Amino acid sequence: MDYLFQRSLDDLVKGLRSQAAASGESRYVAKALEEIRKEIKATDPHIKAAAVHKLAYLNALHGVDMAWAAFQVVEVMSMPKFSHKKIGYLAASQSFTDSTDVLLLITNLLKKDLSSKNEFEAGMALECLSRIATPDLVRDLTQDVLTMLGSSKLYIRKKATLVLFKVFSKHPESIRVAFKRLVEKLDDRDSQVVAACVSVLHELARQDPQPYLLLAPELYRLLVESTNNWLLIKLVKLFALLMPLEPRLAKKIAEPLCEQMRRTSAKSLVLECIRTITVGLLDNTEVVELAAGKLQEILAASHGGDGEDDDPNLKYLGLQAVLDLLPVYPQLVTQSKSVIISCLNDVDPSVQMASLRLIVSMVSDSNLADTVQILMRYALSAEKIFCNELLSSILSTCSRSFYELVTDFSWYVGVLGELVRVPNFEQGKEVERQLVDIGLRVESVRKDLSRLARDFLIDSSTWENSHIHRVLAAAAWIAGEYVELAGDLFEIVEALLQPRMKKLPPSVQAVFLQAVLKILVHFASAAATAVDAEVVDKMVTLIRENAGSLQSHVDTEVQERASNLFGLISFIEDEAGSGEMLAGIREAFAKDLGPVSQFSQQRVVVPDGLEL
Amino acid sequence: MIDAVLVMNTQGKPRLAKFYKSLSPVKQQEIVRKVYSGLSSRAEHFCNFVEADEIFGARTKLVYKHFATLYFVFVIDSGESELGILDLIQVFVETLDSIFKNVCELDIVFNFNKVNTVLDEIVMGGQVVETNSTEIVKSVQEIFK
Repeated sequence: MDYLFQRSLDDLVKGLRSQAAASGESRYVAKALEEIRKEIKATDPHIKAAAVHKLAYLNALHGVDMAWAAFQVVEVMSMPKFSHKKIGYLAASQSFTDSTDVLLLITNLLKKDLSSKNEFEAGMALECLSRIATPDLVRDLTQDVLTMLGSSKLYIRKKATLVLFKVFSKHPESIRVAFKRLVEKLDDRDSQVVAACVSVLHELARQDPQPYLLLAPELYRLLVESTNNWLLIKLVKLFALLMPLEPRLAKKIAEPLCEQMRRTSAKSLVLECIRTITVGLLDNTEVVELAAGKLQEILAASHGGDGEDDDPNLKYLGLQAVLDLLPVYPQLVTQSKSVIISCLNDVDPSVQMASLRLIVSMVSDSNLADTVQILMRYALSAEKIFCNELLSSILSTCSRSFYELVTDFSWYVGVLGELVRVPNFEQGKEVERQLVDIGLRVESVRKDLSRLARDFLIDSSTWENSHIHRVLAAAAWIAGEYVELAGDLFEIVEALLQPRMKKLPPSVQAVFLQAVLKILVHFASAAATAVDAEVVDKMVTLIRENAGSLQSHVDTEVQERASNLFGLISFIEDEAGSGEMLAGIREAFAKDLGPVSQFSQQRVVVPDGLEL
Repeated sequence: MIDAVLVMNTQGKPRLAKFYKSLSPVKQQEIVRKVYSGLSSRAEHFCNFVEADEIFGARTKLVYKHFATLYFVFVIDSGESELGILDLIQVFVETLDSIFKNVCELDIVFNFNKVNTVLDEIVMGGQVVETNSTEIVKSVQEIFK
């Protein structure tokens, strides 16, 4: 009796739509859920089914969990009326997972429905199986599915074929029994079934292509004969997976592949053919020429000329394909260079990224400077995300394989300096790493680095951008480490101790303080004349004034380094014997640090008797 | 493989959400939000492909089409052809159009079961099962006779 006025799904949807605010909506959902919880226990099949229907809706579109109703879903799946059953199956497909325990109950139900005379009922069961299959279910139902492969109905055969992918994935042992049956479908009289079969083979081959190599002759025949575009696409993709395993295969399919490329009007197929060619046929000049020609057509078609008739999809996919063909057909790039570069400026981020990837892959040591200049130029006007993609590309390309492409490090240090000043710069960590790395590795460029470091420290207008902070740490480190090259040390110490530095993160402040220490040591130990001694005094006073408070800084590292610094100062001021000590410390700092190889640890011999 | 099919309106409200990988309802809602934010910033003349690595994993893409107030989105991995799937979206929409006579968003809102069925006739377990609109319409009409 309670259910007399049960709300249907339509009512539920209307009710939801009438809620203006999100809070109203969630209250409405909660209320609906309460009603559903009661209705779902009803014995009247219509009411139970309607409740499950509403619940499925809320589950799919409002994120409502329905795992608690799994048993009732099975009840609805078992109902005799097809329209009720269907609702149960819909709910099951979208909500059952591997851990749903009622799955044990549905094996027989599925068995029954799979063998139904009503092809739509059987199809429904297959669909459900394709989404919720567990190893147990598959094991029990494999035979039923295999029987369906021989159905007279195309509808059943195509769906049963597709389900085999799930069957093989969840229960690999079934491959032994069922593989032959799957392969038979390559000869099915209906191309949809053949297409389903090739689709399954392709998915399986993506995980492990070797076992499917022996099907090559069959697949070859299909490549020559078929006119079904979908089938051909999957076929061509499958060949791309098989070709690396058998070089002779590539030679064999070259001609039919080209024939398909010439004949078809579907750009989708042409692009897949090009992709497959880049996987295994790059040494066949005729094939590559054809592919390049087709690609040029596509690129030409993608540019309407005045930007109006541009086909953005062809632009994007075309650029990707040029990238794939690059190893053997770099001419494509030179021919379309201006188009590719202008795509860096394209309004569409997808096209921008495709263009960037292409440009980066064309980089060599001879065009590095030009490429970097182009990328930098676009970075200045690009919006934040793409700007940083550009900057990040510059950084990773130049530092690749220990800066393999960089011939002039002085130039590169300049680039790093420019990079940091780009408005949307966010690559602080990487720049810090590279500045220090280059300092360690490239002695000749340390003077440039010192100059750059000085510029960063003194020009505090750049300090606004929080991403600069790591770079400042590198700058401070460089100033301290290569102190003999630093120029006006007083100026640098002033910069390192300016009031603004206290707003920097503690880790950066700590580096600053250490740099001041190194500079002071260097300076004090080198002070020979009275004039120098005066400057040392000035420096000490400056340090006292600006860094005094840092001795009680909250961060322990900063505190410690500040204390060390002041300890050194009191040491310097206590004249007696400080000279020798200072010289000693200075020498310790003067020793060159070098980069440590990542294999160094392995080379350390473990001493006898040490158990690790 | 097709990882998911989503239909959402231009305000981000999902009208159809089918996932071919097992995901909790909470995760599904999160994904719908992320997909929406990936699409809503795109203008009309942009290409129909968006790289979706951050949402669905490496080498996945959103292939989408914008019709009136709705986005139709197919999430694919590298095993699918982008242009092929774009054609498939067209098939999906044309089929809905045949079945609902000049389909609009409201038709999809009020026909949860039927719209899901149409999709099930096109994509099964993440793979394409039928690409011919006439065949699909025939089957759906039989099912709902």
